Amino acid sequence: MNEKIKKLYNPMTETAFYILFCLKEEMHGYNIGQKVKKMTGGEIAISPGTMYGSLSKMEKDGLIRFVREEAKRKIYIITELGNEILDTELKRIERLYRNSKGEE
Amino acid sequence: MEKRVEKRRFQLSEFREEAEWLAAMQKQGWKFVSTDGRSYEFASCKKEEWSYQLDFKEDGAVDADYIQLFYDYGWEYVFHYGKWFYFRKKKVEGEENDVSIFSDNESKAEMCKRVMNGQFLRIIPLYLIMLAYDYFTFFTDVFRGDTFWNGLAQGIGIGLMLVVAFGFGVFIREYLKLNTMLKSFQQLEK
Repeated sequence: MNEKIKKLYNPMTETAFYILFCLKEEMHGYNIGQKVKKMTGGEIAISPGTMYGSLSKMEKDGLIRFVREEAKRKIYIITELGNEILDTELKRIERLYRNSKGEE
Repeated sequence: MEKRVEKRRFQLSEFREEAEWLAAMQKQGWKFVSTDGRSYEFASCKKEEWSYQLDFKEDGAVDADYIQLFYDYGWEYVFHYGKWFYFRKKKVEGEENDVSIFSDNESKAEMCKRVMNGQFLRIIPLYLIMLAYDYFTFFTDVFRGDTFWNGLAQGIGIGLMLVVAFGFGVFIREYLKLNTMLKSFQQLEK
């Protein structure tokens, strides 16, 4: 089961990557959107339909889990499986970067 | 406040056209209030430029966190008809308006998938029941006979057959259209 999910997120979209990355800390959807915008200098704006769909899907797939609700906003955090998948993705991106720069 | 009802029918694959039409109505001073899938109720308002967007939420539930998320992004929740949720946002002049509630092609493709699965797969059992009824009407002796009730049962059978044939045509067309849309988003992802 987990293998199938790992495959599904390898590689992952930029949206999925940033959401998962942000959820290393507890956060709700709109916060994630704001943080990603700041991190990318406004380059990446995640719209609400995309945010809701991604969070729902990631929760269902066990990459993140619901922590609590605050003022009608659902707060999530990354799970162990999510961390594992994020690490795999980071390694992939690092390799991509290394290879594109050429070996020293 | 003045009210106005417009009859209009949008197919499953026409949610973008529907959103554009609602925006055009508000530009003419009529803001969307509610719908039952066939007719749309509007209330008079200022002639303004608003963006409309439809989302397809599989469970059809008006969850507070769902509405709140859109609200945080500046989208006003208007109404939901079944699994279709209507949102609107005022356009700001001189500002770049992100008029879509979906920011990447994958989530646009996901939306098409939700519509295809959520709406179509649910009518299949209904079709099977109608087909089963027709099977009994035309291929067995169950409803054969000269009584009024037999005649009625056969009449219903013929009626259902027409519904099935017509419905199936629309079904196939909409399915193919959504599939084409889905494929185009998936291609853009690559």
